[in-house]
Amino acid sequence: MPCPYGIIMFGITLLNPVFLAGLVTVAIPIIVHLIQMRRSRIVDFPSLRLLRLIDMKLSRREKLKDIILLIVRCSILFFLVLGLAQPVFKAPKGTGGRGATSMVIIVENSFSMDTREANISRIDTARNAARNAFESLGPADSVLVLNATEEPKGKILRNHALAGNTLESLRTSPRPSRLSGAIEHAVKELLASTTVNREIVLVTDMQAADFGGVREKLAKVQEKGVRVILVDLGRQETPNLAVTGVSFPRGAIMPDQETVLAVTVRNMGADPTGTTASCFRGGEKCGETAVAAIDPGETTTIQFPMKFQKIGPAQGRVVLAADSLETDNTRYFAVNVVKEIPVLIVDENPTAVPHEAESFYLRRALRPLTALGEALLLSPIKPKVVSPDAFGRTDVDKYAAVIFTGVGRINRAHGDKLRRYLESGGGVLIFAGERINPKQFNFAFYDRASRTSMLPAEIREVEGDVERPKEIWNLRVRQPGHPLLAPLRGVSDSLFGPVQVYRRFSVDLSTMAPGASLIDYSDGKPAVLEKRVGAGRLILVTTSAYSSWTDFPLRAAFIPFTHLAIYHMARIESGALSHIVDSAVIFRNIARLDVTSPDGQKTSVEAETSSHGRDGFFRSTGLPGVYKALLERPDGSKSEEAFSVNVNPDESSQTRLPEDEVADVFEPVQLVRVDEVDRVKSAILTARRGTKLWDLCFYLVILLLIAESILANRVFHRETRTGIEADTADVRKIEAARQRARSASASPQEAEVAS
Amino acid sequence: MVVQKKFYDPDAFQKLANMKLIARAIVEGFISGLHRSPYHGSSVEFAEYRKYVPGDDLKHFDWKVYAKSERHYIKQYQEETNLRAYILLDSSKSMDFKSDSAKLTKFEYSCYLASALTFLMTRQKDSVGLVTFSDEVRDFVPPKSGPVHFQNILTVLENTAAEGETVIAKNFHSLAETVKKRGLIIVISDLLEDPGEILRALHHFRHKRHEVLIFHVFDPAELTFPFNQLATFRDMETGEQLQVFPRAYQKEYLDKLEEFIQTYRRECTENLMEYVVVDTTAPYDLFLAAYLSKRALLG
Repeated sequence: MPCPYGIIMFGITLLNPVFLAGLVTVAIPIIVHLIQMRRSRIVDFPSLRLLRLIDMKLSRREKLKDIILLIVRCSILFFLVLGLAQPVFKAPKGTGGRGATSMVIIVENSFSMDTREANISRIDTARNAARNAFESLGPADSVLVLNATEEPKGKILRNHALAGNTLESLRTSPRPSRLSGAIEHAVKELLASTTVNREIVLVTDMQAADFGGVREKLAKVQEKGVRVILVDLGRQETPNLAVTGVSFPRGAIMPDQETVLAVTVRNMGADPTGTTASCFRGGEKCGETAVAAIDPGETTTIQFPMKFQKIGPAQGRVVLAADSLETDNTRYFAVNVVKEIPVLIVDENPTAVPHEAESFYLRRALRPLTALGEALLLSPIKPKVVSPDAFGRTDVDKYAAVIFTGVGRINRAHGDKLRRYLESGGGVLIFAGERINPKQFNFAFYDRASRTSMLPAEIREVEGDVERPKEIWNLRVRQPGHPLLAPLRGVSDSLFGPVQVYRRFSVDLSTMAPGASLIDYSDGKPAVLEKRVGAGRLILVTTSAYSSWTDFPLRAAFIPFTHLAIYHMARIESGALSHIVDSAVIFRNIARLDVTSPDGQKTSVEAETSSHGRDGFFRSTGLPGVYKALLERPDGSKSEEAFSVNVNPDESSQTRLPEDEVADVFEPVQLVRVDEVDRVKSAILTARRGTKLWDLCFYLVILLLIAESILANRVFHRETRTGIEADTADVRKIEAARQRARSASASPQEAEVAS
Repeated sequence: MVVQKKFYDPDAFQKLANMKLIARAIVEGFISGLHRSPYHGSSVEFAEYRKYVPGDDLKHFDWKVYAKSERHYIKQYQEETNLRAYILLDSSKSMDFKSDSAKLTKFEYSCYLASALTFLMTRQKDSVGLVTFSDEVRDFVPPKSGPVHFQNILTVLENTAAEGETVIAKNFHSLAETVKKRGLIIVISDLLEDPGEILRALHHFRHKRHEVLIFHVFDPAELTFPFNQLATFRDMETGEQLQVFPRAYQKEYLDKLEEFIQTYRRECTENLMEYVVVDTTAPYDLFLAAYLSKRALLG
């Protein structure tokens, strides 16, 4: 883009290029020098032989001095003229300093900007920086103020008052930073502007997590001359501990049952720091504990034992002692205390001798008499066993999960019922068994509408001989990180490895979705498979839940597996009740939803039709705290739930964007970095106009003048000596005296006397 | 005597009328004059006694001594003779130099000096010869006395122009061989040749028992080197050029010149030659009068 205000060359812009005409004066010393050289008169001289005896280096040295003097004199004129032309140094893409400017000020206002340094929060410092940037604007300039957490909107306008009000009303937000969105909007607005100067002033604490996608947005302005003034407020790392998570043990929380709240505290600062953590249940303080010093970047977990008396939603919070960043010192939690988890077990022949029933071990596992870890101290699961005929008449929606164990008499009606149940969010666990006819079984679970099977894979023939087993298979966990198996991480191999399976169903691997197998047999064939059907989950175990095919029901792995499978299917996860600010909370199979925010604001949400029923989406989670939701089911029943919303712990991190990545992110634009708030205006003006060089020129002129006087003095005033006196000197003196006397006195006698 | 010649300056010569140039060394001549002769004979100035030997002219027998002491002594007298002087005048091109502050070129000044000396010596009945030389001996006027000879010398001076390169040593050696009788050799030159060579040639004169008097002629510009602006110096004899910044050279030049003069002065003193540095701005008549007075005082 040509610069209308001056000549640009070698990154230097001349604001008054007309003065360049004065450069012709540089020729004056050169011309004088050349004339002097040409005027070098020829002197006939008899004593040349004496001159020749003198070292000729003297002459060369004198010539060099003369040339240096010439250069100095030319330089004086050159820098004088250059100074008058007002040179400024700036990048080639930078444009004239006197043109109109369009500026977008983006202030990072995520809660990390609440960090206090020297008794002033970063957001206040950021506001000051933005005000400083604001002062660089003239009446003809346009401005738009954006923040990094809200949906960017607005146009670049000359209405400075509006922008000023926006700036003054700017506060931190618990919402995560959406810097790339703000940058995208700024870029769009700036590209639409026609001003000479187009600038983005980005005031940020340089958190690495905020800069995702920024480079891609800035790439749009490559070669467009947009300048980014990056005001870095995150140079100083402050001590900061943050509560990054609160969780209860996996499983349902029941009334009067002691449970443990695990609190994760992370040191986000640069120095080892300890603190004190307090736990509040409802509004009541229920515990306080000291947290030993945590190394930078490290995490520690503290625990608060507690009990809930009432069934229904309950809430609380964990608060750390005050530090430089308050916002991440509090983390809210919400739990729904339940009395029991109803589970329906479908058994082909439940009335047989109890220990011969297929569901015998399953029922015992779900109601264990002994504990296996704290979480399973008392099981909230309440199983009910029914026959396939009774299943057809049962309202499955009242059950958190349905378990089919070795059921052969399954038909399409059962399949359709299960499909509806699954799509509305139910969970189905199927154990294979001797009575199952693969063809009939696959048919029952086949959905004609979608032409897909609800099964993770279609089952085929039975393998293995129980009486004379030729081959015994063990179990191997294939996906230890799967939510169902994750609580057993570290012990899963020792739990499942000893399990022996003598008989099993093979599956059609061609119908199996990738990643469906959670546990394999030792020969690699799938043993436990999962598939999501609508909002629900279907888990297929290809061997029996009875001891005739396998010793799995007799092994220690069976109890945790069955419990975790039910929790998994019923989505009973304490963590599921905690959400990050601004994330959408989904309520499955509801008709309507009334949510009360922590600030008391009520929001009604109508359910939307989704691929698997009617779901309620609550998106107004901008405020950390505990939200209470009143759910109205399609059948008219109502229930109350609570969920917590907390700030994103990533925002607490003081990990700065590495310097090499800064260069990469801002590579498409001309970047001006400013570390001091008071220098924002001057940095902007310097970037806009360039660095003034004329002061330097005039200083140089003064220095060169001094150098010239010294040099000239040395060149022209060399050491000299008086001439040599001839033997006739006395005579000359007498004659001179006589002449003086003659001119002073009329009397020749006096003159004679004088001589 | 009415003379109308260029280098005849009656006013200046008048000032020299009462001056005498007396040879310090013993010289040989034909007629009686002011100068001491190695030939003892009838003269007015007593030299010494010696014992009478048969055959001696009784005219010089000292009867008074005989009367008092009855010893026979013969009076011996120092013969006074006329001076045979040679003026060796350098007429090379380098002598043609005149700076702004001088009224005469070195050659003109030298001519005036030569004519004044000739005048002075012819007045006291001495014989004066003139040799002009540059790269070779150009004019050779044998020593004679008398007004006509003076006029002849003036004519030669008038007709001589400063030209040609300076070849002093060779010419001096040649002249030293030519001049047989002891006399006074007066050199008027700028001596711009290798001092060693010139001094050897002057020694040659001394070897022939001549008294040597050297007038080393300088223009004031040569003694002060007053140039300031960049200049190209051209050798007046060879035409060789040298461009220099004179301001850088002044001190070094004068140092060299002083060394040059001191070489001559030292060597001349050691070899009983008189060496006089002459500045062409000094009035030659006054200079000569002062010089002769000083010479007479020093004996």
